[in-house]
Amino acid sequence: MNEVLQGLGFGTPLALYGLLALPIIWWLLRFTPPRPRPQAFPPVRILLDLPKQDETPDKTPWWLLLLRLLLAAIVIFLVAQPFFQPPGTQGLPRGQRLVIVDDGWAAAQNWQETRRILTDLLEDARSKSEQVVLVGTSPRAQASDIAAESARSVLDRVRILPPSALTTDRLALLERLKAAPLADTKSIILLTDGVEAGGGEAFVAGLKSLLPAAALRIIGPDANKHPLALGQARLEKSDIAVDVYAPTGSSPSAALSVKASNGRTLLDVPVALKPGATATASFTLPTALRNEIQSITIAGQNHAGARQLLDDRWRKRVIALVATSSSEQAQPLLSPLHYVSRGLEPYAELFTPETSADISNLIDAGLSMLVLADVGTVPEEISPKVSEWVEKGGILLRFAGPRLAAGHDTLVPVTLREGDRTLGSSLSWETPQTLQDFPPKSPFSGLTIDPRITVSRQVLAEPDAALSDKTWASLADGTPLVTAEARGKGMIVLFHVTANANWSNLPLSGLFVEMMARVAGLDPAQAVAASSSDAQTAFSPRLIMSGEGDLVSPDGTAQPIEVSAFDKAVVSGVHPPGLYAQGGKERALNHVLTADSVTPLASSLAGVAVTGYQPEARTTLVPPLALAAFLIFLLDCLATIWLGGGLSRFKTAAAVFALVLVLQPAPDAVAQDAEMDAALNPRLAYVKTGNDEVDKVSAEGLAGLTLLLSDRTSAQLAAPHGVNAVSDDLTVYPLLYWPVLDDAQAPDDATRAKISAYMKNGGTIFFDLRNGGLDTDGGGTALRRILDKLDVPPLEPVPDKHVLTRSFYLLTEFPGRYEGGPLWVESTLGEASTDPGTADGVSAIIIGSNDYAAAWALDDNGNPLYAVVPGSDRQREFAFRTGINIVMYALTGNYKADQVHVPALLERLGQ
Amino acid sequence: MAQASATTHKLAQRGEGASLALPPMLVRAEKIAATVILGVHGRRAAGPGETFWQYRPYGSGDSTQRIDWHKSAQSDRVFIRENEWESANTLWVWCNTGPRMAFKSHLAQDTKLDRAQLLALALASLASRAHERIGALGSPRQPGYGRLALLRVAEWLGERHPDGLPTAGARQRRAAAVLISDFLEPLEDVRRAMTTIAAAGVSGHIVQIADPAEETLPYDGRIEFLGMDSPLKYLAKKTEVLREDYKTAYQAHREGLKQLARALGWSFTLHRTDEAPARTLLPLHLLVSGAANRRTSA
Repeated sequence: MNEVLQGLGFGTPLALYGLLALPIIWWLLRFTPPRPRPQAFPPVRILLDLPKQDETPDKTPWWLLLLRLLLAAIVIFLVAQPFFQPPGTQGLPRGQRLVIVDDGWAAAQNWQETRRILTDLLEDARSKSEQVVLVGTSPRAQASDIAAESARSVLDRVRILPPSALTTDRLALLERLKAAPLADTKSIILLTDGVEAGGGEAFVAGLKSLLPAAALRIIGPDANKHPLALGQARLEKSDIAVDVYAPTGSSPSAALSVKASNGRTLLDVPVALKPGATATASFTLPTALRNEIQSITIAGQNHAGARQLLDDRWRKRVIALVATSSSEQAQPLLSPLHYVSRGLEPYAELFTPETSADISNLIDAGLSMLVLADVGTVPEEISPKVSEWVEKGGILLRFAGPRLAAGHDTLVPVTLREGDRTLGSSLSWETPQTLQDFPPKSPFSGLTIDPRITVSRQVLAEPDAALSDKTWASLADGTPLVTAEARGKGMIVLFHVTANANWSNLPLSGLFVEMMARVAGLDPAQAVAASSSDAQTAFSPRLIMSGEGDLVSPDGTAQPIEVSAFDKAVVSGVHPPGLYAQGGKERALNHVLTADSVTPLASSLAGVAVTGYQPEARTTLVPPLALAAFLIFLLDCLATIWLGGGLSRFKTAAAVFALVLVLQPAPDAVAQDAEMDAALNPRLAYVKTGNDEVDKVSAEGLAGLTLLLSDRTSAQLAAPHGVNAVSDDLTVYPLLYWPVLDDAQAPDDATRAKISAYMKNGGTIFFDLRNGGLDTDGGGTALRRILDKLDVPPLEPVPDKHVLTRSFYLLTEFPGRYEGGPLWVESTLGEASTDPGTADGVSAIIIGSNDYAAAWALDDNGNPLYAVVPGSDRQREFAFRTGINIVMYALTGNYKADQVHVPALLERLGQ
Repeated sequence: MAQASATTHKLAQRGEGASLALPPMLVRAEKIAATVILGVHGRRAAGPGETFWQYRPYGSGDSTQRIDWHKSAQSDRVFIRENEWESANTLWVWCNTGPRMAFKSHLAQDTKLDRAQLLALALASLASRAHERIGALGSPRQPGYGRLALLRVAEWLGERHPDGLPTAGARQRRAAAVLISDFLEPLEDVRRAMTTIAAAGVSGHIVQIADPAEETLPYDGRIEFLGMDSPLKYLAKKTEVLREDYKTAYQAHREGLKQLARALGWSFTLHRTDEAPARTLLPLHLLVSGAANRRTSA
């Protein structure tokens, strides 16, 4: 029982305070059902003498109270999310424990879990007063001694223990363990990060042989929680490509998030992962954004292995390339700019301005570097601008050539001799010169020199005391090949050879590409520092990566890296991954990860199974409790019904409820009332379009028409109705006025059938397009939509002598608010063939377009509400007459048509 | 007179408290009483009285003191002046002033107590004007004449007496009594009390005051009915279900009262608090005066 209680836990234990409310709930429940209304009543004695009615007890019975209290208690427990978990370290033998934690970057992803388990373990050890040895597997810079401590002190450390950004090195730890006094260790717990890299299998085997008597337990994350890793970013053409390594069992998709140094996400790149294999993601960004990239991370992975830092070598600059001659354009390999541009392409956005104005514009727009290939003199008009730009931080890269040799301006780093020097020509004893090693302060230092590179022609610098400081590269005989000079914040770099292969084969070599990369990465400030004598020669850590993959300020353990050694530096305890800076220059030191870095551990190591972070036993008690609560609730309902007068009444209530559901109450009744009213009093009706404006006009128009009819004719119609074509019964209305909205939708099948039936059974629908016959806005299309699939007879404009022209007034035209739109009726040509009995010869459909309702609309004083267009009293009057004729036509049918036969009939009668 | 002045003082003292509401009620009662025509109260016979009845010749055995010398001097004969015999009856009024009578439902205009007091005082006032003696049943005071007696009755009625039923003494012999209450006690208790009073030779008039709500039970829903004079309670789940049964039971109780009155030779009058008081007062006055006449002639 005690064990059970120990294993009981709560997800949100605070909710248990709700149990304090139970007395209040009890108090509330006691007064359920609600207190009766007290009423003083003198003849209560007579009431008391009445025969007893069957009544419920007035207080909740105790068992019902108990049931409800139980329900409340269970609900409170439910909120607290109870679970049952047997104490985690059952079965471990008593005695000193060795706890080994993988605390490298791979563990950071699951660090919360790891720390929780670790805390649980240590809590358990503390409760049993065991000694604990806690060691981590990552090669931390300051490795603490391996010694047994009390669980309490270890616990204090663990609570703040961060994962490191390094890769675990378990075998190194094993060596340290071998040297440590661990003889009385009784149990070993290995909290692994689940990654084989760092010697998983071998480490466990070594542990077993080191401490064969100790019980070994290995706990690792679930397969789907293993970390993803990011390979090194590289350039593919102008794209940045990066490999993503996913362990088997990971989810099939991830997203890379490209971030700027201020933490802003520049781009999210979805990646389709291949669990167990390498996936590659690549993306392109505009230069401005690309220059802001500080890191690429895998979204949702918070560890150092999922973050690659990009330094300023990745920043693309805007570089303008200018060559004086364009004669070699047809032959690109001879072009003075071909090699330079190829060399600079990956790092910069290149422009080749044609004119001085273009250069000027580029400078204004923010130019990083200006490359002048064999330009002797910068054009006069922009020369001051260029010097000013250099002073402000621009880099001017010049290449020599015949023109420069012939004469140059002041924008050169060193004083040059007129003319050039030819080496190894037929008239010279000298042989083409090779390069000598780059001086250490040169930006090119560290580059390997290809001995095949020869220089056969160059411009010469005037010897000078400062010349050696300005020299970045020189030939074997010591003559400078590349010189540079800081000017203000900027600098001028001069290659003493041409940018093409005319003077040397340097541009053809791989070294040239690397040199161009270095030049492209030049930061003027750094260059200044480089040119000054006592420069820092090491990159010191500026921001290092924490285990969670965040960039933090370096602690004391991170050491600077020599400039020359930086390219070969690897991540280690003293060189954690991060950004290192020298002067204004920044370099990123990244993990070099491969697909092997995420290979999962085998499910059992040297015969010891790896158990998951969530040990077998954490069973949530929510579902059974919820079920119990539900059952109790049902029981309570039943009890309430039983107490409240038995189930029989419930049946009645259910029947009544069902009946209420089946019957459709009030609206239907109202509708039926309206139809009954309509059936008893003939009236006009209009179809509600849903557009309030149009419906209002329709209502006003028909009301006006009704008034006119009662004034002028014997048709005494009741007030018009607005009907809904979908839901209302149309059959009680002789004439339906239907304004067609431009966006009217086709009726559904049921409605269409209803309209068809209405037309077949003698109803007349008067469609009004309301556009004055100018079908510019889709009214006709809308009408076609409505009439589509309806059985519409052939139509024709109202012919002469049609009944409509003389059903009440004699009319020749049918104006409404507009004039001129024709009125269409069923064609009478085929009338003989149609069945005249059904429609009495009355056209079932009349289509007009003159916005008749607006013309008929009258205000309370009988004055028209809307102006007629073009507008005359005559038009108004004829609009009225049209309305009256249409109504009379619909009401009297072909009676008027028969009138033409009156003389003949009279003649017959007379006989 | 010393005693009378003492009681007047007492009345004045108490008037501040319990019967403060009575003077206006008295006026109202008198106003109502004034609308009722006073009945003739002479005994139509010579006897002790104040109004002249007849002269008759002196005869042997008559006291010489009774000779009316003024009349005798007009002739040779000696006359004796006789006054009409005016014997005043005693009207006892009683009304229940228990807590139950303070009930007034939403259908009524006054509480039952108001009406009971009003009717009792109105009758007492009428009787007083007719020179009857009036007294409050249960009061330790002797019945008396005139306005003072009326005030005393009012005073007594204004006090709250918890007894729901009147008690009678021997003094009430051959008197008339008006008993006003809702008589909602068990019939047996009522019968016992009435029989005791009737045994004292009192001709009684039972006036039942009923609130319309008591007759119809115009309540709905879940109500706990509380008796006003006793700790009785009744919880009705659905009052509307009870209504018909209740009406039947209530009418049965009233029938029982009527039978009781009939058995004792008493009259039974019903007054509902939603009616005007005068509507009951007039027949009640006729009953009381008629009964008084009958008893005198008997």
